[in-house]
Amino acid sequence: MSAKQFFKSTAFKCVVTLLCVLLISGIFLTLMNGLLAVSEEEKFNRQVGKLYPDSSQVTAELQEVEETKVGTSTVEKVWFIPEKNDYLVQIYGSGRDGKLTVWVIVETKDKNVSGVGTVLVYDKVASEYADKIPGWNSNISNFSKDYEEGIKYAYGTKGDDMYINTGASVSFATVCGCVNDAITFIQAYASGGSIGESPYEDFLYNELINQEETTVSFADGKVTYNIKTVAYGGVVNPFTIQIVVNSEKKIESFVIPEGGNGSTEGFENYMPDVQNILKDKDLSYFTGIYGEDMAYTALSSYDDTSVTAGATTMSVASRSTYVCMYAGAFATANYDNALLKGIEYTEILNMDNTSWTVGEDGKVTYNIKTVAYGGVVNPFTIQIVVNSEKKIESFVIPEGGNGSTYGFENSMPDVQNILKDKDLSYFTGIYGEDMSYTALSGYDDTSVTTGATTQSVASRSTYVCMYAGAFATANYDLALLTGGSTNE
Amino acid sequence: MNKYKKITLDGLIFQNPTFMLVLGTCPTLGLINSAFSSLGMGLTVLVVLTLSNIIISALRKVIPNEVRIPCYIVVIATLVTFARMFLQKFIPDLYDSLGTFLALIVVNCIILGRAEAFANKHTVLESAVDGIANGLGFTVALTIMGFICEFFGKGSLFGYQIMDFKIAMLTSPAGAFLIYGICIAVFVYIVDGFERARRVKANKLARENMLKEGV
Repeated sequence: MSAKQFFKSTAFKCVVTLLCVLLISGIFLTLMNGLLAVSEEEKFNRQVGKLYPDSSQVTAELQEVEETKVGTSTVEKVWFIPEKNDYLVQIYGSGRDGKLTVWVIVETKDKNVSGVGTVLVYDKVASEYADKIPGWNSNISNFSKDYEEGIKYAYGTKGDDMYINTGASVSFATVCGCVNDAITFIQAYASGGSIGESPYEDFLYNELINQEETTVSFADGKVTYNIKTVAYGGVVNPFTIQIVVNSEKKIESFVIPEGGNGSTEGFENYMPDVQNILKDKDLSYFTGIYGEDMAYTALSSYDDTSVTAGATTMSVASRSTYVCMYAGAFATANYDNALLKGIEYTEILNMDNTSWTVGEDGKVTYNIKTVAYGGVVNPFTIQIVVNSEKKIESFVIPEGGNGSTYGFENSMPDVQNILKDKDLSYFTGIYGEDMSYTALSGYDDTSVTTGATTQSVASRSTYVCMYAGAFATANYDLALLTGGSTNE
Repeated sequence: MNKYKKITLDGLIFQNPTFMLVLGTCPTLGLINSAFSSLGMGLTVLVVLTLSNIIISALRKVIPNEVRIPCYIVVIATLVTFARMFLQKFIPDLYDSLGTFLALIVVNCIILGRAEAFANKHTVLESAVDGIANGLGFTVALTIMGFICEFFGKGSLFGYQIMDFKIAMLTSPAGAFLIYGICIAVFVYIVDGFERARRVKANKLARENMLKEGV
């Protein structure tokens, strides 16, 4: 076939026609896309507009908020809706197996939370129960009409099934948690405050623990936990457990106070046995078992139960038992963390870079790093040895001094000497920079008065040294128990 | 009969794409639980069908027979994409309610069927009338079924609650099938009745003419 024949052939005409149609269509659509494209901002504002069905256009202004953990949820993004003075919070929590992201409209007035608007499940990952149940949407709408200041949403108290969605109770409990945490966040944010760090944020097994209401105390080498749990699983209400963990990191006692755990059915029968089962258990008992399998581990010792996956709370109270097991894991896993919580005199010390070692002779050697203080004292290092009588055996500031701008080098040797053989009683009852005056009042050639500058008596540097001495003597017992710290 | 009148009546009644030809069943069954969605889908198909008929008719002597189907599909897909952009920009509520069925207009048998059966053999004006008539026939059929399903299935019309009585089954696919079947039966019965009456009238007229001519 010649070239001329080819260009006259049907095949060529077909190809050219098709290409022309494609080209013209493509150009047309490109032009139309330029004219009719909907920006992401417009799409988002439309989504937000659906949250206000009775209103015309609203705009949402994205706030500069970092991802923040609040309670059992995490705030991802926050928008302010100026037309309504509301905040839209995008917040997620964990459902049974997956992640639920919820949008919550939090209404404010005079920088305080005044109500809750629309709540909707924005996204769900592997939470297949999240919207399967009829009535789910009507229950979600209850958040708006049931708002009461200071009252946290719960998925239902014993005998009240207003919020309980059978088959989706864990997911719905997650939504309740998200709404409560969104309110907490906006209450702080709108008033210009900040969310306090959860006290047990770095503890293991903290998800079912109400961190604000749980307390930890330390005495005689034992850690006593007064644990308040969060609501769980649609049937277990928050309740209190008192656990004592001894120096072997074993549960010495596990007590659920009178009144039980507030679950809907049947846990009271098993409660004494669960308490007994958990005595003398350490972390190894809980390790490697996840989720509600923990409950089956505990209950499998019963002769009169048939424990199978999916056992309901009415048969073996598996969810209540799981919460108890989880609390036991929390208590045993965090013995060392709990001890560290009891450390005193940490404010002007760099705890990340402070360490201590315990010698065989019962002496604790501290390598303390201070923070910058008072605008004139740079961070510096102090080495303190505390003996078994809990007295300071040596107090050394390594060569190079404390890096302060003026004059501490002159008084430094004396401060080191002053603090030798001192115990906690030397520091107790004296606060702030008065500590330095206590130390320096032994000098003959100083006139120590309030407001003395470092140029005269280096009072701030001295205060830091005194503070370090208080730290070393006050925490001797704890240091022994922890056996040493490797923080650098 | 005037040819435009015939084209119109065929598209609306005698060859109604939904009730008589049973074409475009996918969007029909997917959207008839809401009168608003039904009407919206019908009007969108009307516009796409009319424009595709016009364009294909205008290009019928240019497009070689061997590549006519791919070319028709490209044209239809372009128009559907344009319709999506338009709805998303100016009528977002309708865009959301139509969902995936909007894109499925590309493979709607009515559009490709009319392009192949009519538009590539007739003039632009005739094809436009055919598109409008078939589109209107589809729209009316879908809207009637949407009315019935929403009113009896949800007790509402166009989203406004009218009554509390509901037959929940009518909002499900099974209910949609049921209403579809019933509507086809009723429509065919009515059209057959008209056809019969027309034939009787035509026979009577023919006999009278024969008698007049003395046959």
